[in-house]
This record gives sequence, structure tokens and C-alpha cells, in this order.
Amino acid sequence: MIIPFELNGNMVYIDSNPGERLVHILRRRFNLLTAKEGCLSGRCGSCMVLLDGKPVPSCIVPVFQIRNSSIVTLEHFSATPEYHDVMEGFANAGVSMCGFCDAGKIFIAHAIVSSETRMSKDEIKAMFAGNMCRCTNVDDLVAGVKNAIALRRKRTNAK
Amino acid sequence: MTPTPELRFFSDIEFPDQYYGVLIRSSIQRGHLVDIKSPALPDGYYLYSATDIPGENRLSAMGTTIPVFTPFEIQYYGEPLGIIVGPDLDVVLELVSEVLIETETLEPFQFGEQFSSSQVVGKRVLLSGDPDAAFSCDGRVFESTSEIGPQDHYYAEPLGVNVNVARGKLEIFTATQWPFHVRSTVSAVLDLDPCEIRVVPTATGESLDGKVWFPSLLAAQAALASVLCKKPVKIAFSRQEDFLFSVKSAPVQIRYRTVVADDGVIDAISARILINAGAYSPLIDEIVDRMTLAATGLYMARSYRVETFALKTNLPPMGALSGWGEGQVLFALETHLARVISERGYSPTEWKMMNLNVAGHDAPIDADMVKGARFAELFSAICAKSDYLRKYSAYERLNHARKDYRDGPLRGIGLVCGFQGNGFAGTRVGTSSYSVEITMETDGRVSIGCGLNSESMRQVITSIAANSLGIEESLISFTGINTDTMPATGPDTLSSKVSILAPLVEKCCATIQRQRFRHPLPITVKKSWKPSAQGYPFVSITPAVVACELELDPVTYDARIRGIWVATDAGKLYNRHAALTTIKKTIPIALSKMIAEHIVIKDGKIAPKQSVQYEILSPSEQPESDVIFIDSESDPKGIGSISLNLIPAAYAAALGQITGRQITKVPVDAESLYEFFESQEEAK
Repeated sequence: MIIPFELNGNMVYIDSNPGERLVHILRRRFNLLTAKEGCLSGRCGSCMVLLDGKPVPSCIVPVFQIRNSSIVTLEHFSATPEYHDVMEGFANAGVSMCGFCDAGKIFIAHAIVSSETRMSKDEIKAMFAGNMCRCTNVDDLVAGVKNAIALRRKRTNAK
Repeated sequence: MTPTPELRFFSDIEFPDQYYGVLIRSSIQRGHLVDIKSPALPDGYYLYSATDIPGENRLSAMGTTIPVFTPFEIQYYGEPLGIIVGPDLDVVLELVSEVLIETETLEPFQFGEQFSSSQVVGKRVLLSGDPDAAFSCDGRVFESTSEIGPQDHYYAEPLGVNVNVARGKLEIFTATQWPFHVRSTVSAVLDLDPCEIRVVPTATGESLDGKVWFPSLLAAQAALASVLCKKPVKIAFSRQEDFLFSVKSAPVQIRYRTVVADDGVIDAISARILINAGAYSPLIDEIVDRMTLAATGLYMARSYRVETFALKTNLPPMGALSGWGEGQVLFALETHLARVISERGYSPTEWKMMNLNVAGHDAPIDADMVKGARFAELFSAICAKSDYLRKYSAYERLNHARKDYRDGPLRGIGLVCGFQGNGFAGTRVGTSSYSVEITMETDGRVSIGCGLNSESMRQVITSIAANSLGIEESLISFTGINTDTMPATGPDTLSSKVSILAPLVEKCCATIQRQRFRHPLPITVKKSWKPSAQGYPFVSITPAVVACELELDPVTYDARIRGIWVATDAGKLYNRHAALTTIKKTIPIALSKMIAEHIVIKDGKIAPKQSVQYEILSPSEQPESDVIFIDSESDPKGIGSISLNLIPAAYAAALGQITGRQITKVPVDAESLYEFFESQEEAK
């Protein structure tokens, strides 16, 4: 089955079994390794990508679902100012990450920062429920997200 | 921060012409292997088994050996019998499913009080005074038996290895806590000189000690295949394969008996610890040592007896979880003592303080270490932060006066004290030496070689070096980490890196600091540490006090954590934020072990569906917590196991105050609490 979709800004066409996991396609065919193979059940968040701008675990997305959609991986996202808002926010809060779960934490933080809803600490924590990696102090993560929100606001106001 | 570039993940590494390996596993729990019938293998696909091993068919660690591929005696369900390798992973998986294994079945060994002497793979007995005399007196003997089941390490990246021949050497990439053990294992299995093998440890993440020796076994299996088929070979476990066949924490059964004199002093403690070591447990000696040493906590009883037995069964290999058994023992001890305190009506803090420092009484751990533990300050800090004394008294009164458990609020607070032992228990001479080599270059840059593949420890070591040398952290780097370039070190576990390497780094920096303005740069200084063959266990101990306050919902039986307080003496803190992060991030892990993580092993097998059903507390459920470090100028001490060693016990003590019963099983979930309250209702 030929499946067309936009990958990191470029239109691509893949011939694949429609039930193939998106994470396998990204890693094995496109060598996009920031999407990690962790739990393969949508629980750990290590394989997170942006699907039409929303964070989803790519291990539970069958490729037929991405027909004509846009997929962004951390490789591409890391060149954006939005990424730098998140990373600077994390750095200022002393967030430590093992590297395996980066995609999950960064994309979820990006979703929170981009959201128009003002979230409480508990709500921010709850947003990370789909990220099972045990490498981070969640209090730091919340502080990092708050920093990133402030940085994003500052950057957009400056325009 | 994300790891530095050289700390890659093995799963991201692919070589040209890459082959993939999948293990052929036994389908019985115990028996004999008669034959492995291979399907017709397409060109470029190979099957290797025990008969193909040119060297020794064994992995050795700390006195225990385990076959790389079992030649004849099958000891557990899923034991590796061979490997099929080839260029297409899907084809390899299909071929493995077509392999026919002929076996003869034997009756498996069982775990329990009735065991044969041939099952005993580890035994320790500690005796001080005459506990039998105390138990034979008229005084009340408190007795309890706790059971803690097997649990998974649940690290982020499942296990695996990638082997390649490069630059004239066999190069092995794997996420291991013990790179030099990988090298020595592969060397023995392939009958190669260790110099012909280069191990590149990849990032381990938060492995909770699930990557101490198992990667060495996988490395030997993949290296054998790679050498024989002359291709790079990668074994990458799926999450399910990792869950079903990797090491689990050893299940334990712990029976305590205590007698407390009228003056409140512990007259006698008796602990009988049974450890289910599974078919193989390469770390079992150390686990047995640590559990035995931790069995009386740091309490000084008039007399005590500790008997620990590690029993061979036909379960998959059982090993260490962070803390190596200390947490299980401290759970059983502290919940037992919480019941004693409640039934006798003592003040927990006063009673504990009294029994932590009794003149003339004995404890298994070095008396100086025990006396150096500043428990008075730790208790005082916790009580001040948590309002423990008022809450404990109020909840005791409320819970005892309650006629119906549905009359809320159901609240309890638990307070426990204990320790984390840093470094090995002292008998592993030769496997646990550590070295640090630091060079200050002519441009003032500093490179550190100490074999670290943990990002958090790199932060700590960087802080120490920058502070000691008075330079910017940006001038500090770590030398390439592989077994060719880093000094030989023991396993990165039991906080050995912080308690041993940190002082070594300080010493190296002090030497450089003395020499740098008198001698020309570059200056290289190397310092090493070796455990002494005699003396007391551990490099140091980290004492801690933990309190946990709970409120139980009488309708859903969900326990809501109102607060967790941790006070510890971690020695000199070079990086307070890193220390705080270490404790805070392990709090949800400890809670997860206490209330969620449960594995059922039936007939030696873990059902495959458990790999997705295994309940884990999300780190996002990290409760509000206060961590207090008391000021100290002593050498840095490990804190990685503090939460795992003490939070389950504090949680259970709080739940025990609510229910009026000692919590004796882990995990304890809403369903088990429901059953408990229902049974109480029926009893009325």
C-alpha cells in the first residue's frame, strides 16, 4: 500500500503494510532515531512525534493513519525557535533527562507551552502521564515548562 | 540535560551489512535438552548453540556461573539454548518460531520453608548474645512474616547489544553498568585475549541495577554469532522479551520475631530470610550479605540471630533491584516494629532513638558508622517538617476510637529509619576496584577518565572538579569511554561511583592543584581504590529517616499521599540540585514498587500479556515531598537507594496505622485493602 505523508516538511511516499508501526518506519526507513522504541504500547512516550501538530506515541500509530498527514520528529523540531524555548526553560530549571525519553518530554512540554489554556501544576504534571521514563524529577519538569511558557511569551511579544 | 554525544543508545547503532540475532529458548521449566531441530535455513542465516562455543560456556560473576547457551540441563522456562542470526529480522523471528526443541522434563524445585540442602546457593548466619533465652521467657513475642514478590526494573531502553569487528578488534556496544565484566565474559567465551575486545558502554538510563551482568550474557551470545558468521550482529530485546526473560528482583519471605523488655529495649530480634534466587543469580552472594546486614536495621538489640538462605528454584534468573535487598528487609523490619510500637503504646521517635544507640549492645555494621549516623538531627528535622508527633498521636486516637471504618477521615502517618549501604559489603575483592585519571592540559582544559556512563554522575563529578580546581565547568570533559581508554573499574552500582569516585576525583584535583604552578602542564594524576580484604562492610552508610502520611478513601480504597518527608545525611553535597533530583525522581519509583508493580509467575512462566498489563506508577504521579539534607562535611555518600529502601516501609507503616494491622505483602493495592476491610466487616 502506498502511503503519502509529509515528513519533517517534505512530502514522502512509502510502500508499506498498512498496519506497520510508524516508529518502525521512521527508524528503519528514514533513520530518524530520536523516536525510540521503548514499550511499543503507547505508555512510555519515548517514540513521541508531532502528528498534525499534536504529540502522539508513534509506536501505536499504524501507518495507514498518517495518510496525507504531517509528521514532525525531534530531528526537525530541534531547528525551531519553539524547541529552544522548551530546552532553555528546561535548562534553567535544571531538568535532567536520560536522552531516551527526550522526544516525549519535549513534545509534551511544547504542547503545554503552545496551549492557550493556563494550567495548574497538577495539570502540567498530568500531561506527562504518558511519559514513563524515570530519569527526571517531575517538579523540575513543571518548573521547566513554566520557564518555557515565559520564554515563549517573551519571544512572541517581542515580534 | 540530555546526555553528551558519545553516550549513545545501543539501539540507535546500526552497521553496514548488519545481522540480527534472536535467541532460541527452552519451553520447559526444568529438564534435559535432547535435541535442537533447526528448520531449513536460507543462505546467509545461521544457528549457533553451546557446541559452537570455542572457549568456556559460562558467565561468571561474584562466584556464580551461568551458561551462555545451555548444553544439556535446562533450569528455567525461556533459558537460551541457541541463537539464529541473519540479515532480515522478520525472517530470523520466523525461523526461531519453527525450531523444534526435544526435551525431557524434570520436576522443578519449589520455593518455601520446606527446601532441600541442594537448593541452598547462599547462606549467612549472624548470632549475637542468646536470643533463644529471650524468646523462651514469658514476655510477649511479636511475630510476623512479610512477602515481597518479584518486580521488574522497567528501564526505558530494553536490553540489547551490537557487536562489530572494527579497527582489528571485536567492538561491543551495550548499555552495561559493568563494561569490564562484558569484556572478561566475552574473552572467556571466545577464548580471546581481552586486548582484542573493546567494550563501548552506551547510555543506561535509570536502570535500577537491571543492567549489571545481564548485558554480559547477551554480549557473549552476540559476539559468538558475530565471530562465527563474520558479520556485525545485533540482539535487541522487544519490551515483551525483556519483561519475560530479563532478570527480576528476587522474591523474598522474611519472618521476624522480637521480644521487647519492659524498659522498651529490644531484648532479641530473630530474622529468617528466604530468598528465591531463581535458576541462576550471579549477584546472590552480595544480596545475601546485604539482606543479612540490614536485618536489624541500625537498631542495637541485646541479642539477635539472622539466618538468610538463598534458594535455587526453576524461575528465571533473579537478581538485585536498586539497594540489593536492603529495601525488602527494611520494609519487613520497620513494619514489624511499627506494630510493636503501636501495641505497646510507645512514642515512635523516642523508642527508635533509644534502640538506635544502646550502650553495650551489638549491631552487625561497624559501630563507628552506626554511632556516626546523626539520627537525633534527622528525626528532629522530619518531626519539625511533617508535624509527625502531633499527627501520629491524633491518628492513633482517632483510629482506635473508630467504630466503623467508613467513618472518615482514615488517616495515618508512618515514620521509619534506616540506611543505604554504599559500595559492596566488603567480600568482593578484585571485582570492585575503582580508578580515576585526571589530566590538566596546557590550555587549562581538564579531562577526566573514570568510566562514567551516567549523566547525573557526570554532573556531580564535573562540579567537584570545577570546584576543586577553581575553573569553569565548561573546561572539563570526560575521556572517551570504552575499555581501551578508561581505567578498569568495578560495576557502577550501589552508589560506588559517588562514594568512591568522588573522593578520588577530589584527591586527584588536590594533587594537580599542588603541582600545577610548580610543574609544567600537562599534568596527569591517577588515584585508585581497592576494598580491603578484612574489616567491616560498606565504604560508608547513608542514614535516613522518612515519614509518609496517607489518607484512605473508604469508598474506593485508594490511598492518597498527603506528604512524604525524607531527611538524610548525604555527606558533603557538591551539587545540591543533582542530589535533590536523585531522591525526588526515585520517590515515584519506590511508590510504584509498593502499590502497583506485581508479577505473577505460574509454572515458571510469566504470561506474555503481563508485559503490557504490568502496572507502573507514572512519574507524573510524584507526590508532594520535602527532602532535607543535614549539613555535613564528611565524604559524599550515596543516596540513590534511599527512597527505595525506606519509602515502602513508611507507606506501609502509615497504612498499618489506618488499618490497625501490619502490612505484610508488597504490592498493596486498592483491591487488597478492599478485601481486608470486607473481611473485618464479616468478622464482626
